[in-house]
Amino acid sequence: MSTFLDVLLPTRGAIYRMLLLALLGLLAIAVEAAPIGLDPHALPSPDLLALLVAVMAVRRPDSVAIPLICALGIMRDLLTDIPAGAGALGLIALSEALRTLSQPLSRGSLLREWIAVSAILFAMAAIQYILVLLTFSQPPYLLALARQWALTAAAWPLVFLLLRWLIGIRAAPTEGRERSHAG
Amino acid sequence: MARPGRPGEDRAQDLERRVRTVLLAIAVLVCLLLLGLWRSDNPRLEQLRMALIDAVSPNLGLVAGPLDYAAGMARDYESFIDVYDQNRELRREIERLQAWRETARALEEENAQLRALMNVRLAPRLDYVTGDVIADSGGPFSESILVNVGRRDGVEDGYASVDGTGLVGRVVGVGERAARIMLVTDFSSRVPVTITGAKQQAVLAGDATRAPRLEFIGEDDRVQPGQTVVTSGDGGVFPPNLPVGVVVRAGQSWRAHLSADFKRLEFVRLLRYRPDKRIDGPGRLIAPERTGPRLPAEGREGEQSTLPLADTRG
Repeated sequence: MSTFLDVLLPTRGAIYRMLLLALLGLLAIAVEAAPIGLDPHALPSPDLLALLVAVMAVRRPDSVAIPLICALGIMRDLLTDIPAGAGALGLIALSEALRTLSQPLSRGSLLREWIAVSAILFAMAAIQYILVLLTFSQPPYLLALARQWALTAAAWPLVFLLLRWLIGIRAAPTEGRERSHAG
Repeated sequence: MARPGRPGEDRAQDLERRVRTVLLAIAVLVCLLLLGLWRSDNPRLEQLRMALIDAVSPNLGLVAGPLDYAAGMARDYESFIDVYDQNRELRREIERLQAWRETARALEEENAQLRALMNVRLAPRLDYVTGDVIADSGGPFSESILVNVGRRDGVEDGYASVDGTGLVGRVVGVGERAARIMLVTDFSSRVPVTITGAKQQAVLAGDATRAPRLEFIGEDDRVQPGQTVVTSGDGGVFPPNLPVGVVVRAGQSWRAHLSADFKRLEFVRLLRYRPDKRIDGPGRLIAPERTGPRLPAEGREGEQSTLPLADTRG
């Protein structure tokens, strides 16, 4: 029974990091939603929430609880008018993929991590695009989607440095040292 | 190299994996359910969205304020660089407009006299409420904005929104303190319009560009670049004669370059407009046209609710 509870309940440190992720996630959504560049040809806002989740999933995998990521994703979808559920699903896929790869990525070079995150962000955009296609809705222009992906990928080092300065993220802990808990 | 774990640790990891798999499955199901609701335009999803927007809209404004201020500073700096040229251009514009003002006054006077002679009934002045833009979709999937006026300000679904120069979009979701406006540039936006010079009806179809397509033009050989596009009022959603843009040629198709300034969209007016829904006759589809004398209309809200174009367009 105690093992079961140990697995279900996150550590205190993980709870703090989840709270921090929730707060920063809400801030990222608010910044993304800020009315800058309403012109259709204006540069799209980079996906700050995805970048935040990407950094935390690699460096602090115990903080990317599935319900939290799902809630943030749905909230963002509803507030910024992304097809509801599609954005959240992409975000969950991103966090799970990077969480699985967190050990090798966080111990490799930053360039390698950047390339891996960019590739998975690309897959996330593809998932959203395919989901919209499957619902027989009008998908966005591929060029517009590619522009947003490029901007998001380009903004990763900035978000990474900001989080390193803010919360001192470092390499992901090994499993024996600090276990990542479910939920 | 994987370190062989103790049996207790293995069990815990196995349990953790299972719990995570279950949570993942639930999250995926919830997302797919939401996607289904979104696709079927379920009103509950819109209610959920607007409840969430109502809850967070004050905080959105707090974050958007400084960012908007910074963006405004950048815009102002750009303007400052070419302020001399702008000043000269504006002076020229003022001279041109002063000449036009006199012409417009004369035309207005003449128009009023003619209307009086023809006993034309005028539409009531459109009432409006102005809202501050507090958020936008910001991504490639849709073109929409949030404004800080809602049900408490009398806003209802379907209200047209304009800026100082032209049509911006229409309200597609209303909360207590905020409303969501789908811009005319959105993929889902369809606006019935009239090309005034060519006297042709068309549909303005948004496609995430500054100049949406003009579709279903009756006789497109009468259309010329530079002709004005206004709302036709068909369908009863938009008031008639709201400026939309000017016709431009794009290859083999026609487009309307929008009048609204989306680059500097900070405030929008939401027009309180209710089309005249009185039924004056039985309709030819369900009964033969009445040939006898017309009965006086009963229960009318007043002559003022009659639209002018219904009488004048013939």
